[in-house]
Amino acid sequence: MLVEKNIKIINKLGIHVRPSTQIADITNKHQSKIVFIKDGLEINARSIIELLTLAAGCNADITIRAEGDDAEAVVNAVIKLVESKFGEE
Amino acid sequence: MEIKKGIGVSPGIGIARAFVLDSEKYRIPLRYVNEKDIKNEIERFEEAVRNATKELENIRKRFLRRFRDDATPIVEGHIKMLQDEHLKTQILEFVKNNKYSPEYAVSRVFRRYVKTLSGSNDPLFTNRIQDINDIERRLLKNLL
Repeated sequence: MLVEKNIKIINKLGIHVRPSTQIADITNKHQSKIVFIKDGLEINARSIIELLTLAAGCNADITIRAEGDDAEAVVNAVIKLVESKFGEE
Repeated sequence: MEIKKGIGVSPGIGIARAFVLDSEKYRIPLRYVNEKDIKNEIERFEEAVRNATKELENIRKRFLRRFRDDATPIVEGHIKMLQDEHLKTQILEFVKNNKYSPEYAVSRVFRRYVKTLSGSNDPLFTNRIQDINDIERRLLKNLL
């Protein structure tokens, strides 16, 4: 199954070290291959260091693409986390 | 003994292991490993990751004992980055496929991340280059 959704980063500091860790914690608990795409740059969303290099600040538009049996579940879990602002401002 | 001259920034005498602030400017020379040594080189890299992680765990414990715990998420982030399987895979692919020394493979992979972050217009992210440099330096210190 292939799932692709667009989302806007809404926390003040964007995807810095802590949010990268939180995202990777979720993506690594799922089996699906998952990537984030921003401004043509595609990164592996299981990797903290790759998430960091996406340099996704506040208001950045991201495409999340997952492929696998639990693609829908992992994309929804990541969106929920982004919408929670990673527990930040 | 080596004597270094510089500008004093505070009064008094300090005796401790020197910490070189600008070490991220170093360049690791390209060195190849023999096919028969690849297994040992991979183990050497894995050991460097384990040792670097232990160092950070100790720093985290010290922070928790001596300071507020505000700084520990940064150290925890560094520990998790060291454990990043994707990062390890990229480094080890260079060792296995290109026969690069682990030092050079680490340097190549981290240089690419720094280059990607340098292209950001957001200072919040260009500042993160320091985090990337810190992790690279700690890994290399345990390899060299």
